[in-house]
Amino acid sequence: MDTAKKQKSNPLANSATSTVRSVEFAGVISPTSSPDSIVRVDVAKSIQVLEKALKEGVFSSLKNDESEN
Amino acid sequence: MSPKINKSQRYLLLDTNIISRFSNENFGEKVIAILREAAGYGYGVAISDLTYFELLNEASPETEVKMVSVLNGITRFYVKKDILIAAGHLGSFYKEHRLPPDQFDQGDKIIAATAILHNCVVFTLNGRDFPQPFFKEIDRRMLDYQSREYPVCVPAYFLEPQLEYTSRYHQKRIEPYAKVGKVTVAPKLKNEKDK
Repeated sequence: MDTAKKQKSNPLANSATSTVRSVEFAGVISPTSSPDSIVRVDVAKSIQVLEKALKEGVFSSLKNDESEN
Repeated sequence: MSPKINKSQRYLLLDTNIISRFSNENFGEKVIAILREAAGYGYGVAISDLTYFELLNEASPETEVKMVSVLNGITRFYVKKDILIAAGHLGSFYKEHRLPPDQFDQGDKIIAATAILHNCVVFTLNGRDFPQPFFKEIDRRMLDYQSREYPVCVPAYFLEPQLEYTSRYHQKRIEPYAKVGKVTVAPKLKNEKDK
């Protein structure tokens, strides 16, 4: 299966291209467009930060509840 | 030069249980691979302020310093008043749908409200925290990894908020009050200065 077909049949991939819609809910308007509701970091950098912390054992002291679903 | 950031991209919202299990390096590596895959599709990776709190809760000073440094390197949605109002309403919606109250803690509702208001896909180890008809499972991955002495396999869920249903249910719910001029919803925050 070529990459394009594989991506098309992948629900996660399909969902990524969903248009970000504004929604009115609970009397509030989606703050998607509001710049002060989010601190943005480049995705590659976010993943890099998590990977580096994982290697350095930063998370090792966290509670590891493997009984949780 | 700072990296270019796509402001309209959709985010994977990492539930706290995903990051807290990074205490197992093997599990963390599997998740990192999934995040890279998702990034390839165009997703951003984000957490909620609530997760920020939960990961720092009861941490030693040493852990706190390291954890803050890590969490500041990830896109983060603030828990502001609009999120809290939406979380409160979501609690009412769950109750009216006869969903078992013990199934959700208050934090689950804050993360759910964040996902709804920002149209994020929730990535969690506990799909029951994000119930139908307000969320729909769009994908599931089985994560197998080695624990201390035994193999573990857990499902990780991708859940998409059902915006149309939630918005429609909300409108239907407030209609009778709106007709008699007793709208019980919180005021719109769009132009509010103290958000």
